[in-house]
Amino acid sequence: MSLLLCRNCAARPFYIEKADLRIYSLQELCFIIYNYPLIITEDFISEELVSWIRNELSMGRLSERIKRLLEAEESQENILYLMLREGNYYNIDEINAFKQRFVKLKNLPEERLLQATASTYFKLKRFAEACDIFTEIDRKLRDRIKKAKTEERNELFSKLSDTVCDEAVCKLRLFDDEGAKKLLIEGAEMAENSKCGKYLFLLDEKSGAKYVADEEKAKLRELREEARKKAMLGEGYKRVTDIFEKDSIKRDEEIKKLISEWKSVYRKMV
Amino acid sequence: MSIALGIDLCNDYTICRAFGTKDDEFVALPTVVCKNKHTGEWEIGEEAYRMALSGDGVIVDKLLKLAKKNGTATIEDVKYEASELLKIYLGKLIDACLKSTGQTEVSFLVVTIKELNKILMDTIKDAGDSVGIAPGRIRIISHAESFVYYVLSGPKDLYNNQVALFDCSSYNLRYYEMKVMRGVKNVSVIAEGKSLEEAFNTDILKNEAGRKLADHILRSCAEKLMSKKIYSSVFLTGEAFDDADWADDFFKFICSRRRVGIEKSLFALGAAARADDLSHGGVNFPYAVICEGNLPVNISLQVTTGEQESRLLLAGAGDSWYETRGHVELIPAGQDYIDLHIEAADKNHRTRLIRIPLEGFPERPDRTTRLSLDLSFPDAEKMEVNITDMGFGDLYPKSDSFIHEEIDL
Repeated sequence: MSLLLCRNCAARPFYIEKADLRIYSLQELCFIIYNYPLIITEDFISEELVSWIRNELSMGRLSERIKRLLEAEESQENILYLMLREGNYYNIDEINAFKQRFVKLKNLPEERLLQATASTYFKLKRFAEACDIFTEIDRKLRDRIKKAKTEERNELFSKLSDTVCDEAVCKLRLFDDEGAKKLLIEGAEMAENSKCGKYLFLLDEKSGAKYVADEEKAKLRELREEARKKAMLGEGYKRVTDIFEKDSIKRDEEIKKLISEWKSVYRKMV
Repeated sequence: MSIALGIDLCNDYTICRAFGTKDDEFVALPTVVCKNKHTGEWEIGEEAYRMALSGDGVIVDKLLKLAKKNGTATIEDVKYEASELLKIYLGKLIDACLKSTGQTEVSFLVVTIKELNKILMDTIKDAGDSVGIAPGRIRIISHAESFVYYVLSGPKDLYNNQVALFDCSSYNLRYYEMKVMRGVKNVSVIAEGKSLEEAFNTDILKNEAGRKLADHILRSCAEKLMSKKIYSSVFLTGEAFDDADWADDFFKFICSRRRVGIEKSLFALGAAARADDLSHGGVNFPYAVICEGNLPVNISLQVTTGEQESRLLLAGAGDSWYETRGHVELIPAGQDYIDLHIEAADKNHRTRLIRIPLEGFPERPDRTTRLSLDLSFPDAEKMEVNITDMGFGDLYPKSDSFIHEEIDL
């Protein structure tokens, strides 16, 4: 338990394009590196980042060290570890755990690396990017299925069904219900007892009924009802109901504002 | 060329001293302004009195009292705020002081007043700013504090033990005491002053009976206040001591094994010494001065930097409550409260721990809430703490949540 002392935030943020995020401090940068290492591309540690650290965070010493490591063609991992150590955010045990995790991630087989990357984008609510990667995994799996022996196909179809389900969930988050439904039906047909059937039932009971066992239907209905109740207790729901309690002029203003915010959030997701 | 100035600003009389000038080189004027009815020109001090007596102007006196209550004065159907009148007075006073020293600019200005009052202090700062002295180069201190700097700028043997000061003028009798405390880590100076009930009208000094009475009053006060204590020196200031022949008995008591000094512009000199010190970065007096106007406590919190725990001082004992603003940005890691340590400079008082729970902030994963913690002091006895949610960049945008606490020091 402690209070981490922070330096002042940058007046001008650093923009991480892959995550569509602006960061204002070294702690935020450490958080991104630690929690979303798969969006750290080869060119992440750039002259621009070094300048930002020097000029906006007033950390001349750190920026000089990074610059020297870059000039010496030091590996990117070592530069990332340096930033984590200097960030006053993670302790030495956490940084050591990150080192091990980072090495493992980099050595993952291609498909699993893609899966992990897609999950990262999903966590960052970049659903369009996540969907694109799931589509790529989908394509690779279908290629493998074409070339696979009969005894391998069931397992591959099961994996493909899971991937199709992930794609469908991304589409749902992008409000493409029809696109999601098509994928879920396809996924449910591929493998028995797949997640697709359950999601399809939650989305459209009529379409999903044949893919879900009767004893499961009650549970899924309960789950949906719980989610609905939880959503009604949320800030978002409260905000909408509050708007409709205002007088007509204020209501129109608030509606415009809310729609503008939703549009902005949606643009970020796509 | 620039010079450090000290101004002892009182309701009746004001003394302005430039640092480093000789004993007789100072400007002393009544605290009055007068506007010429015909020309619209302003005069201050004795000139103002002369103008008013000759019927050429309307005088306004007791400027400090007026400023304290945000008052106004009407001159020739025009209403003037107290702050405006004070600006005029200070502007002309500073000009007069610069002229008398042959300097052109003020490097630092310290104004000393008997009792600190936030409205008055704001007004003085504005007044200084309006005559071209930026707020960062103006400090306002109490008489107790200027007494400290007066003594500290003298030889060390003056303050080996306690030092006393009697300030005596009409209906005003105040006693001050200061002591230098040498601790293991640092040196602090504790000073306090109080008004004595035995204040008298200095007109009584015009006759023999009155002088004897005054002498008796001061001797009794001195015996009561100074017995059983060891003093290195005693100082006297105020108009009553302009001619101190009447105080034989009093002097017999205070001069016993002590050095005694009479200084008319003692507070202004102390203020000038402090002004000079501040114009050079405030390094001449490496002491925490605990007196009226300054915080009596250290306020700190435990923080982590690079896995090292340390105590971060947000405001120190001896810092001016008026000037001090504490600011720090923190990220709580595994805790939902902030503990402030309040440690008295006087070791007889224990350290207090004030816990402020971080209630009402959005629920976020650990270490994703950056907080801005700001301290300010409406007076020497209270502290205001504001804790604002700054979110965590775009990941967790900031909310409107904040906490406001008022804490007795």
